[in-house]
Amino acid sequence: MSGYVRNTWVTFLRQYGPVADNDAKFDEHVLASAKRNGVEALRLDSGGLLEAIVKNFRSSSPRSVILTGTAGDGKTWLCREVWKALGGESLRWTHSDERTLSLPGGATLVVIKDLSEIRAEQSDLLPDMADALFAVRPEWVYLVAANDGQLRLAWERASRTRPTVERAAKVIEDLLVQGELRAEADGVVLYNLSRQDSAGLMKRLLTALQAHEGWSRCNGCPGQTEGCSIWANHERLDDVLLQSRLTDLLTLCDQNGNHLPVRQLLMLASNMLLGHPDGKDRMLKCQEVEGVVRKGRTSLGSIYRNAFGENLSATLRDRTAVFEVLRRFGIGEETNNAIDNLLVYGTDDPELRPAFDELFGGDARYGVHPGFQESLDAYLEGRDAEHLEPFTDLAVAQRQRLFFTTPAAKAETFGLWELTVFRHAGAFLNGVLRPLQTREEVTDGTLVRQLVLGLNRVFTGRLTNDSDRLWLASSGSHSQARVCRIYEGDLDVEVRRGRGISIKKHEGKPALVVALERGVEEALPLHLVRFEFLCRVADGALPSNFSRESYEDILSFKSRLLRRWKVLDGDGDARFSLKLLLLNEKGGLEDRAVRFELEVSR
Amino acid sequence: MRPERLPFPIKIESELWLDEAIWGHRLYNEQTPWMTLLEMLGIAATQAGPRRFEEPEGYPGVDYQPVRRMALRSILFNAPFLDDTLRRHTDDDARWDAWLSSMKKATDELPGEFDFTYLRTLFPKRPGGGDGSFVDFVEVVKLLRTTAIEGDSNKRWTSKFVFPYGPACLFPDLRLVKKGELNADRRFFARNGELVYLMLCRSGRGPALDEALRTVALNPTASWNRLVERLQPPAEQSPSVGPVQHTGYLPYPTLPDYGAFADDLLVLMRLGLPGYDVLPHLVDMIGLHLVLYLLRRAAEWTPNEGHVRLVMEIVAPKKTTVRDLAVECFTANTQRTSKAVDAYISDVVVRSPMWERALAQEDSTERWEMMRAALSDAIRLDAEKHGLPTAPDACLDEVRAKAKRRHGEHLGEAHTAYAQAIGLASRRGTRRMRYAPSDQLLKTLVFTVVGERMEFQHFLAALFERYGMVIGPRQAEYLIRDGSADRAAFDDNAYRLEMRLASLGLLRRLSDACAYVENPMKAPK
Repeated sequence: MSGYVRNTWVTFLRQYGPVADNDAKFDEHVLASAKRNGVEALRLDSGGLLEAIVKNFRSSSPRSVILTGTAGDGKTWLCREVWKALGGESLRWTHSDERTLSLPGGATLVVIKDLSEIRAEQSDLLPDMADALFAVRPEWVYLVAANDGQLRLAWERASRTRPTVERAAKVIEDLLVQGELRAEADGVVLYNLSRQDSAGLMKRLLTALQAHEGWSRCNGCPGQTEGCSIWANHERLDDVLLQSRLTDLLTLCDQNGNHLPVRQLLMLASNMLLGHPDGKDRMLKCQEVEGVVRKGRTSLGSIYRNAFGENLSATLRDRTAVFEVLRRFGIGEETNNAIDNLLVYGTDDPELRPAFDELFGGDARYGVHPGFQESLDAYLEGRDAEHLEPFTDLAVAQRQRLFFTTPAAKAETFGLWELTVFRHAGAFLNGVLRPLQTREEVTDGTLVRQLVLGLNRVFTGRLTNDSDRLWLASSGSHSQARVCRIYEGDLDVEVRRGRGISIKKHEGKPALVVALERGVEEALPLHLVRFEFLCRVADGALPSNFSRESYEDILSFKSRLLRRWKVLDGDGDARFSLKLLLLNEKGGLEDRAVRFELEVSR
Repeated sequence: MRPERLPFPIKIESELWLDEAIWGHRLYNEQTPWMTLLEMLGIAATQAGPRRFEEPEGYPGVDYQPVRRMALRSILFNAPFLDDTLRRHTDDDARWDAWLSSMKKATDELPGEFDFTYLRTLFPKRPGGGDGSFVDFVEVVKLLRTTAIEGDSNKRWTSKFVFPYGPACLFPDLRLVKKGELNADRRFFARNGELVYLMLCRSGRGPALDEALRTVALNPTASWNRLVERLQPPAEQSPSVGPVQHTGYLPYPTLPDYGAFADDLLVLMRLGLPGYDVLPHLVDMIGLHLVLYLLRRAAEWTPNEGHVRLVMEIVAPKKTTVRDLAVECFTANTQRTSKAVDAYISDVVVRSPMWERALAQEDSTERWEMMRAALSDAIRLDAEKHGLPTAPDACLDEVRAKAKRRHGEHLGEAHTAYAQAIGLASRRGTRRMRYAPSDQLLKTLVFTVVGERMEFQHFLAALFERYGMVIGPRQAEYLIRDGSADRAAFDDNAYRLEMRLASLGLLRRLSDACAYVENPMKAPK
């Protein structure tokens, strides 16, 4: 042995990875493991939640707090942190079922760290809590952690012994359905940890992880220079570009309604660092590193592959939420000609060479590593080389790497987001999400027009180029028909005198808002799938071929718009004007009246 | 427990009264749910008596007098020369003249005289030239043709229907028997609509249905209705054209199903969908309730077959246990109606006092007389006329065979026909028919069942309670308990529904453990 260091911190990090079934009692489990390995457990910043909750309980009129979310959102952890911050003893936390504390304001705090441990329908807990929610100065206040399904079910089943129970159940369900991180009503504040911003969470997590003193124990290990993938990945994880691409993906997941709880994010981080197909459980231990280095298989531990769980078996990957969700982006499989040309011909073609060197050449570990050229040659010559990794597999790894390493300045040139299923995700991030973080409304009108073009094609069933106005049409009998030839109404895109179309925040979320009159709005909340659908239709995809469900989804929006429209128009029966919607030679839409005289007597 | 049934009608023209005794006279497989709606609306529009959806005391059915509207139908469906006229002539007057003269020939076979010159006042000349008024007329006709119900079918022109924009658009299915003679045809208007109408009369929701339908499809002042009305000559607006008809026999005076049926229709009509968008959803609901009516009445005769369940596959990319069970359930349900026919013979014929007396009778002539009486009483079958064997066992075998044959031709096919027509069943992804709902039907179900929002598990429970639909593991408990399926298979099935509803914009997921189905048309204002 040449003296590779065995770092217990690395051993500890494995606990977070997709190794064991670590579902139940994860919090306790991690604490024990940290102790065993003689390291400090990770200390995460709660993003202000902890402080806010503690402040509430210290105030003169504290309210009850419900922490909800899905498994792995850190509910128990946060509960314990609150307990500690309020001066609760660690021993009582671990060993007692009675967790109560006197609060400065005089009330007594009852902590329920897991509602499912209590047979809520049989106990008085929920009726007592219900009373407390509506009391002016409650004697008892509560801190309850429960995942959202259990929370809803517990209140649904709680015995209706007092009138407050029914009321409380309704209040809590309403808070839950609001889908906000923090919602309050009466004497209760509900934090839905599933609504935390995963990107922000990941940033804080990476900061804590990278700054951990455990890494200093790697000092002096020869692996640092000889090609230990764990160390290399640790160094690369500091890369600002990689972090921003990763958090972009997480932001898009959030927007798509695929929230990733903190436990899954820890799993992702741990796998990115330690993942390698040769390791036990596909995660490397320090003692396995030397063997991997000797065999020249370091590149298989690439942090960029590990981010998508390439080191894991397909079954485990599919079963693990974070990889299942991230893999929906299709990164590695999706590509464009520019990138594939570079990959295949970049080394030989003098025109492509500079770009190739810029994107691949500089990275001898995970870019053009020794096996790469050999495998490419075999591929170009049509040889089967058994000992080689097939080039098609290498290409997947390279595209995954590119996703994290292509410099922002080149993103447009190489079509970065074409490496994903969501080709318009970049536009969505930069054109919608980012601007709306600081402003109420997107000022750049081109995106609105692109979406309106998509809507027009869906609404009319024609391949129009019209993006100046939104056209509403029906078939005469049915507004949901594939092709609609009857004009029902139109609206200028430009916002004037309260009418028009814009992308702005609606109930706190990004939406395409159609204002039919001042104050009369119908909103289409924008998430990644809808945005992609409308952009692709605007690009020329056939609506019902691209995604039947998205198509129906947009047609529902048309229904709602038309319903509003008809209400505004009032009872139009008296003057019936029939207009045909025509597609002119330039692809524009126009309406033409069909004339008849219903009122002439005969 | 079988619900109370009304006595048979006095006059029966059918040679066997068996399907009719159980399900009524009659449900017919070739009449699609859309045609059922049209027939039903036609009755509502022309029912005799003071109020719609009201049946006189004693459940005798209702009289109605459909308007035939031959002028309108000729213009729309029997004038293939429209484009030709437009092409051949350039002058507006010449076009009108040519068309009017072609119409003369086209209506030659029909009873009565037709003069279409009134159309020229409806489409006046444009001031300052431009396209002539005939062009406007052509556009209107083409529009009405494209929106016609099942308009692209190659049915004969007297079996094509205008979209039900209002009362002026409703007319019955007819057959031109010979020159100058039209008869009511019972192929596409086979009385399904009459039975549905009676079910709704007996639902106790008559006034509410009347009020709701007035704004949806029976509004005489609706724009499109007025336009269609003006395409017809004034004389045809009097309801004296067709003969008075009487609704068929609906055996059950009261059923809880009737109320549930009417309530579903009412919920849909009160959503305020734009224009006529609610009609396809009404059609789906009519089809679904007819399927349930068929199966539930059958179930009352076949108690050993258990409750009516519709095991639904939410279509999966590959074969699953749920798909097999859905196929099995569909097949069993299809056979249920024929088993009911068999059970009816066993229970009503064989156990009748007359038949029992016949069996005890020594004298063969006497016995034959008694057998004949028993068969005539129970199923209106004339044993003599049909030359049935006189030996009781052989005779019964023959009766059963006859009944099954007849059943198989039409009513036995109705379950499949209706289920397929409304997207409740399909062969998608396999060769075998099974329950697998379409997106459109899912929309209808959400619109009907969900108020503003409903927790996903409650939604599954509601579909089960109302329609016997089995989608998730809790509803499939009976299958899981007897080992036909594991919980995971139905978990996956429910999960697929969750995902599908989410992409249809009908569901909001809070997490893996918590999701709400949302009715976008009920969203708070």
